[in-house]
Amino acid sequence: MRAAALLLALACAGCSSPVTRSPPPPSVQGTTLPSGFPVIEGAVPMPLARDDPGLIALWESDRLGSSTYDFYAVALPAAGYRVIGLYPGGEVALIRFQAAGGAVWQIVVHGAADGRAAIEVRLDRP
Amino acid sequence: MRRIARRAAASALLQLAAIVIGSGTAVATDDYTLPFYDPAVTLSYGVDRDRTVNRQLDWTGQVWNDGLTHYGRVYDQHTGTDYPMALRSEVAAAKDGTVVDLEGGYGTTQFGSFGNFVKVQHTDGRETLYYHLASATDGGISVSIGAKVMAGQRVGRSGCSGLCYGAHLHFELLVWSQAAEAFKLADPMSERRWTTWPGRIPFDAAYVRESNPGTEYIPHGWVITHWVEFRNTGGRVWRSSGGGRAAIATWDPAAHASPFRAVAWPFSWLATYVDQASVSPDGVGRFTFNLYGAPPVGSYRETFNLQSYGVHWFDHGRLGNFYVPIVVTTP
Repeated sequence: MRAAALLLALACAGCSSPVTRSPPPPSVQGTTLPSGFPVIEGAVPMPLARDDPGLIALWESDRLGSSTYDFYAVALPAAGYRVIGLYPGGEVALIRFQAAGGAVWQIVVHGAADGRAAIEVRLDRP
Repeated sequence: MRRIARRAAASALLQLAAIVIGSGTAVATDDYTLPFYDPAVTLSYGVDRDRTVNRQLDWTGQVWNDGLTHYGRVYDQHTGTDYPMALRSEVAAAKDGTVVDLEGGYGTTQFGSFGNFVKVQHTDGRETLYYHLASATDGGISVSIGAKVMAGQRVGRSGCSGLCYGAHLHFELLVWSQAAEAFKLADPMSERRWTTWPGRIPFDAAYVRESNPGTEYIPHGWVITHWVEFRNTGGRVWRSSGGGRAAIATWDPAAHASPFRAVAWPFSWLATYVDQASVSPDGVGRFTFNLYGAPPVGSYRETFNLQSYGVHWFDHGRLGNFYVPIVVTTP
């Protein structure tokens, strides 16, 4: 948790990115993204694949690298979501957090086609 | 309150956990240690030991027949171990070696195919790579090509340069393959290359006891002997000679000339080296030194910290903020 706190502290670069309120993307298997969920500026909602029932929401962004991860590391707790774990990496970053009702969800950021970044909100999985 | 009891309890729990998890105790070797100094750093992702796409073999031996991201374990085709850490955190050489390659020209958080790194070659024929470092102008590179580095010596500071989503250190262990005539990936975790299991930072210690846990009364102009014992909770063996030997020295400010220095002190700021020739991880090292009552009659306090001599200071807070209260009396 000390590492998590450190990473939250360092992620101030993301603080400057304004939170936008996009319309909630379609829900999957009854799981709906709450209104007001933080979405990084410029993220474009994408359709959800039918064969991925754990996927709650998907965006694409032209913000590659650390900025999207940094944004969510700060924006999630600021929006009232308790961050459980931060897992930055070379080709992917994952943040586990507690959603409303106590369920654990993940934000997964990784490279997508045409040089963009994909931002997924999904149900927790190991 | 001179010691922090909570620290001792936490340390004992960690040691118990290491024994339970490790199916073995600390192994006293001069093998690799974790490449950073903060024991709170945890693993994001380990090496994918199966190079097949969409089939992952993680450091625990579990196979994942998918291309998904498994936090704390692995993601597909991952070539190293990822450790989350704040930007510009210190990064340490995992073992003695020579710097054979580096890059420091990319921005600290510049995204791209390439980033800043330091590569060290070791005498066992292996190489270690420290990747995503901060830019050289931002303090990301602390060494130069050809430089000899000691185990636990700082080689740079972390960043998020290159292919990087969130600040972390990407650490690789590479082994020369005669058959392939090339370096191949190794996994320090599954190979249990760390000096201890689970891996430890190079330098750490926990206060055990001392000759006088209360105030030392020294008649003015007299010399007394004081000793203190610390448990080696780091991954490196403490030695009394050679590079990086374990020393106790003045602190707050670091390496100040002590008014209590005695003739036997190696330096005005360094009281002594560890008494024993070597102290393995989990062993207890004793530091015996003299204190000379040179200052005028009065109450004082001299603060000390451990140092791997010429390599790195220990974390003073984790030592229990050790100091010796001293009263110089009329002889």
